[in-house]
Amino acid sequence: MKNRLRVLRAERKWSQAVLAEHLDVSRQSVNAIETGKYDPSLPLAFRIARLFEQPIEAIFEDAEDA
Amino acid sequence: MSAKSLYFTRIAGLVFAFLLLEWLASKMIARADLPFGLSLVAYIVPTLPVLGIFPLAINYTKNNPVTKLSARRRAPVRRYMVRLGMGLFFYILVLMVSVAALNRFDLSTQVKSILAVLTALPIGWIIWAMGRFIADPDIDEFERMIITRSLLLSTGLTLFFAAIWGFLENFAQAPDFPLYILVPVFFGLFGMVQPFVRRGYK
Repeated sequence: MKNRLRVLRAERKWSQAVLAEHLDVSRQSVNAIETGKYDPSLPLAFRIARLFEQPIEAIFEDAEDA
Repeated sequence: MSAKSLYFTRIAGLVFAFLLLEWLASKMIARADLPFGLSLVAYIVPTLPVLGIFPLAINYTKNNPVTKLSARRRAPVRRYMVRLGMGLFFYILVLMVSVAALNRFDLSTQVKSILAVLTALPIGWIIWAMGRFIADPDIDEFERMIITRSLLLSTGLTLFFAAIWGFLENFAQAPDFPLYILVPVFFGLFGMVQPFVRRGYK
């Protein structure tokens, strides 16, 4: 699933490891989510939304054919 | 050498050591004139490489620069390793006792059957521990998926291997393959497929 995680992370000048620490996930999870290869669970998506203070749909792109 | 390929090489080494020792042991055990003590050793020694998985796995989760999990996320790994350790310990213990009993006493088929099931029970416990591990609420969800996929892939490959060997035995008189060895084959494959499953998410 396409998302703006990499952009949001860059705005805060965070590395993947720092973001992983904030979300309490593995660094690899952050990478897989950013590249769109892994869709986070709903609880993790909410954690991401809370961290960046934005609604989920502003971070993740809802592609209908996905 | 990267940490990952080092891990892969060590796992492959353990599996190779296990299969080699198991083969040597089967040659030894097959000899009727073998003293009881030696046959006991022959049974126990092949299971020893399995213990090498502990330091490997704990070290891997602790120092792995790729995953780098928090203490809370590492707790399920620790719980699993403890359960796996208990399983292996009881497996070796029950195996020793069973082998000793089979060699010393003239047991009835019923008692032998009970011993056979008892020896396999710790294996069932280890499989249960794997189930608990992927169901652990503290596990990192991405890691859960990687491990679940690896378990399924290694289960599939083990069944595929069993099918191939089964037909080889039926069609081409291939040597008898002891069924219980499918368990370490499965564990070995589980360790080996993980880097490949991980690679798919890079």
